[in-house]
Amino acid sequence: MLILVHVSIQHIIGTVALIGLVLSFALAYHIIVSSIEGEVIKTQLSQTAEYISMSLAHVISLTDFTYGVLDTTYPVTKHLVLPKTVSGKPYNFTILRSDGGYYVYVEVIGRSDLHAKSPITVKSERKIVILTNDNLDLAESLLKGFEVKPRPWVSGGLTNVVVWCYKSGDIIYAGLGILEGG
Amino acid sequence: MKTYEYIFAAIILIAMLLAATFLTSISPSLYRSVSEAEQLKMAAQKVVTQLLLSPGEPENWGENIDVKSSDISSIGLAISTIFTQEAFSLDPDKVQRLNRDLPADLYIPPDKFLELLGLGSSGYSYYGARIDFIPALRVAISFDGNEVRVKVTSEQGIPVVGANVTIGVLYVRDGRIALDEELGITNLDGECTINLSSQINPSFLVAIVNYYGLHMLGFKNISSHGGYLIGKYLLVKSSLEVNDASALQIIAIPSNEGLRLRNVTYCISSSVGVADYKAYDMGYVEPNIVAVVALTKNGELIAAYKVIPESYSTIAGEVYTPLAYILERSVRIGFSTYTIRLKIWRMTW
Repeated sequence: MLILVHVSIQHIIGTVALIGLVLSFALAYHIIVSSIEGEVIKTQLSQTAEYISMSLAHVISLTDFTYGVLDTTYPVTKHLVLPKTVSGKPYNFTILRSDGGYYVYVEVIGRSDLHAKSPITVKSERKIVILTNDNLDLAESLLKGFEVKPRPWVSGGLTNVVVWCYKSGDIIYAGLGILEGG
Repeated sequence: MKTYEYIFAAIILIAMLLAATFLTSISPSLYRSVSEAEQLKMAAQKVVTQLLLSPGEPENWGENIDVKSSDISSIGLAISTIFTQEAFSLDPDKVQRLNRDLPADLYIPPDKFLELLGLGSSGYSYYGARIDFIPALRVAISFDGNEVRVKVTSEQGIPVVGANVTIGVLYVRDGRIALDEELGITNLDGECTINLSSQINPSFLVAIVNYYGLHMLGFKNISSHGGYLIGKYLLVKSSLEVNDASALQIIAIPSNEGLRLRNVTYCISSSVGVADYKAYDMGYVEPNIVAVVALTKNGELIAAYKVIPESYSTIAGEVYTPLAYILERSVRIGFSTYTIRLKIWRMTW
């Protein structure tokens, strides 16, 4: 009888330990996978940010070269071909000012820890003004009546996202927006 | 179950976890390498667009010796024009501000360069970059006895045959600057040789090579004092004094016989110097200027021209990074055609 009780306790302890081990391993695996997934998402976000900042540099140079001293009669736009989601997660992006420079900032919606930024090499100064959330009113007044609508934040899921450029006087204005009906 | 069977089951579970973790971590790292290369490619294109198509701010930051690196708010090497712009045409004054040999006040340090491009801040660099200025034609001038030999080779060192060469010989005669000009064509070895009169004792040699519209300048300093030609300024060592307050601008003029060298005399006035250099303001610079020469009080020749650096890098010496992206563009710098090779890499990921 005593031997039977001893064997049962041994089985119970062993089985519970095994189940605990399985659960803790499942948790550890989940944490590792989440960490790796986070790194992959950050890489994808960095690539997206680089693409947007490169597009901004291109559209500004194109406007400067094409128009020279003339004003633009219509905003110059470049359509951004972006993934709808990053690893199945929705994301959005904006232009931020930091340390005296401007950056394209991309983040997964609801996960501010998953973000990336890319510097805009074109400096916002006397001749070129990059419009952000802080001067959205100016962007709206510049683009009034055009199909391009400036946006402080743009969702990556949209298909009509553009970077735009508009030259007025000696100043080239640039920013993010969406193309209505585009 | 026996005790050892539980232990065995636990070992199998641990092995499964390790294998699963290993397999899970392999494919993302492969993906990341591809993605990181793609990011570098876009960063390089962004930098090239900014450097080669934008004049920067202030637009005359290259030619204005009063503009120090701290006064520049945006960097770009493109030539500044008012009405029309030519793509991939760079300002030689801006390019030579990347020359480490310049007085420190005029040189643009690499950390400032990266900061202006948004690739670093407060002395910390996110990226590293190296720019090579590769001449489309390599022009080497040698002088031996009375013989001047100009050898023209391609980027790869292959002799260039049939290139038109205009050689300018500058020397001092009777207390005045003299310019003799000789024309020639390179032979099968890519060489063009001229023999000078024994009465000529050259101090400075200039060669302009024209190969089917591809131009390149070459210089050889024999016994002249060196200086810098930046914008409309002639910079000479403080120990030297320019005689007669005048300087000769050597210019290249297209003609039916090819490019010819001519000189124009300009009055110069002393301006605020830079470091241990005196600056002389020439008032105006001819568009096709090749070099500027002047005489010292002792009757010796001072010669200056725009010096294009061979390379400009954020790291000294050759760079071997595990992951970098290289982009090349053909550009015109003043008279000459160059290939610009930009190599960019990340300092941290």
